Amino acid sequence: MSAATGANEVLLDVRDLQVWFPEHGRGVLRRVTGHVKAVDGVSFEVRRGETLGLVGESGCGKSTTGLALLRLVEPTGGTVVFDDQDVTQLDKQRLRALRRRMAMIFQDPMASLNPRRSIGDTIAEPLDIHGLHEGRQARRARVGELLEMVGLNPDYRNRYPHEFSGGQRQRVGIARALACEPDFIVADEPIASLDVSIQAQVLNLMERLQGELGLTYLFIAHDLSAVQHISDRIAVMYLGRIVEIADAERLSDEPQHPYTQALLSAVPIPDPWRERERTRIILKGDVPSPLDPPSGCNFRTRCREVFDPCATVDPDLQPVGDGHVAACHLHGVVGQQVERSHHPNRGEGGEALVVADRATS
Amino acid sequence: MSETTTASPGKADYGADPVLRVNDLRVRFGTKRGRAEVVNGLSYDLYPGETLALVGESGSGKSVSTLALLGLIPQPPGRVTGEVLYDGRNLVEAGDADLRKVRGNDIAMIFQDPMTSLNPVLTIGRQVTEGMQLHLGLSDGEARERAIELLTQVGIPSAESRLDSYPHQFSGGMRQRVMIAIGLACRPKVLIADEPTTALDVTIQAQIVELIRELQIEFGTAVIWITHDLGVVAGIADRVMVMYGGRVVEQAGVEELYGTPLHPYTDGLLGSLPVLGAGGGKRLAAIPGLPPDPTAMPEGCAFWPRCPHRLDDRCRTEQPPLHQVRPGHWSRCFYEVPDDEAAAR
Repeated sequence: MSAATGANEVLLDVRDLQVWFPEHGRGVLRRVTGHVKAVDGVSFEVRRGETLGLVGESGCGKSTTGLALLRLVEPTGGTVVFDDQDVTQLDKQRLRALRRRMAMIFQDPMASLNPRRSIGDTIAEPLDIHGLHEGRQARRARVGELLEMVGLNPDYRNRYPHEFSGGQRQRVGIARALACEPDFIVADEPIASLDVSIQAQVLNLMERLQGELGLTYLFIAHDLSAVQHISDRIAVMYLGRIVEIADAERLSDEPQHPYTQALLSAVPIPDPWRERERTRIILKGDVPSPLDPPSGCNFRTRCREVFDPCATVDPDLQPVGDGHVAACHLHGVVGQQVERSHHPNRGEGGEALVVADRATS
Repeated sequence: MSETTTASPGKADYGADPVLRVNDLRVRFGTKRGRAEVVNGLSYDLYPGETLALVGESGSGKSVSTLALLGLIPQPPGRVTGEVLYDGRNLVEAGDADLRKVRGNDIAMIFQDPMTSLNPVLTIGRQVTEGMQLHLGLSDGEARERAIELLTQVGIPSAESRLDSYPHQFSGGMRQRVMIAIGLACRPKVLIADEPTTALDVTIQAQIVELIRELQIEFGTAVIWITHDLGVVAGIADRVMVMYGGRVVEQAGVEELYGTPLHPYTDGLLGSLPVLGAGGGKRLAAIPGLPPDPTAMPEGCAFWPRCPHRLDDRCRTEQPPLHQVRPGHWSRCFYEVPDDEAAAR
């Protein structure tokens, strides 16, 4: 975990971010027949020096959110304010200048490194684009410095990606992200494709670099254990929405949203005693299609706590504790505490959730 | 003391004869860069109803060793030696016709990626019924009925109408359920599950783990569960074999292994995992370096170059034997993890 600065200065402020992809019909005119609502009204802040974890399952929109922050996909709505500039409004030139300060680390370093370029050239590319460390000597020195920073031998600069292991390639990806001295790094599943013993190496490296360089991270991953380890705060996404944001420890100790609770209970823990005692909430069915999400609350089709307002009213993120917000009607509809008139349909019907007590099963 | 039986969450029957005995199994491949020694003398017994977890990182030989059980290694370039005793026969020596009777019938396999292991141009129904018709001699109608039963059992809603669907019409979790239904179609004695949940999200993973557990209890199937995820292992396994460089480096009942890991590699793996609810902040004890290259195996202990405890030349030059340190707990190390460090973890 980073040493978050005392000022709590907001570096990135995302409001109602929306990324909809049009779906075309089969006819000659290929008319737009609907939208895949990959990201549908997402708001969060990232404070300078912190790591915000963004977790969720495949297709929840977490990667698209990360890409939209840097406008690597175009948002269809909302604002992304980075250090007082709205990224969504910038022209090409200004955007390019801003991208110097925002970098990205990708999941699969084999796919994100050019196989025909030496890693030295790959790392130097952002320097060339932004006109930094110009001249052969300066460029060479900077590449060497970056390689050392990520724990690689500077003499490797002339080697090609296939000559490295997965963990080393990810180090190259990190070195490239650091080239222009960014303030903010979006890391999209940076350890997902690595072996277990190598994942820890990369997590430790990212933490060390954050301490040394004062970096701010958005750490996107599906692995809650890793996210909780590295993050100061965590945002949980489901079907294009953020359903809960809290301090990392608080989220795992006192999750408030039923989806977060189910997700946490499904994460395997490398401890046979704890595993045997846990109550696992098994979610039934699959995530609904983002083309046609359910009315009201997105999660209601799989939620065990469903009651009256869920089908009609879309819950907003609302405070449920110190710096802790959740989007669930259990915590009041539109700011008001509700009396639940009937018992939720817990364990009833095929779509609802069952609680499997593993001790008795 | 028999940790293994008391630790059992399922219905492992250690009093019975093993269903499968593996003796000194070796697999190597001829490659351009020389001979790759991928499995280097693997021996174990598998008992009815138990779940044996095979844990290791990429290249540890865990998947290849189970492919070899069913004669699924092409030879050449592969070369498989040793014994795989099932029902009085050595499957390593068995011919193709004999193997075909065993595959899918007595010993079935679920693969990691259901998209690449299901045939995209055949209907789900055809793929589920194929094995039953071949091995059990069921008629079309009988097989179809049984397929509906199986698909319902693995949690596919309105199974009857889905029989004529194709794999691409199913989600990842549903496809994996279909694979499980195929695997269980002939009620095998042994089910080999090769990373069956790795490609899936955790909430779907939880569904699949629960499903295999239920079916195992119902049919008394012995499961070999191959995975790199020590979290999953903690929840499902009776016994665990940790593999490194094509050899078992540690073997024990699940509680014994997690409670008192003896091999420095196991200890390192457990130390390098972020654990949910353990709080952040603590640096992970990463294992330095990289796994060994199978074409250039170290002469002595395969883990020696990365080992924090390596003490002398013996580790570098001599292959440590797999020895029983306590009843049922085996470790391939001349030395054990020092007590003070194990306690500090």
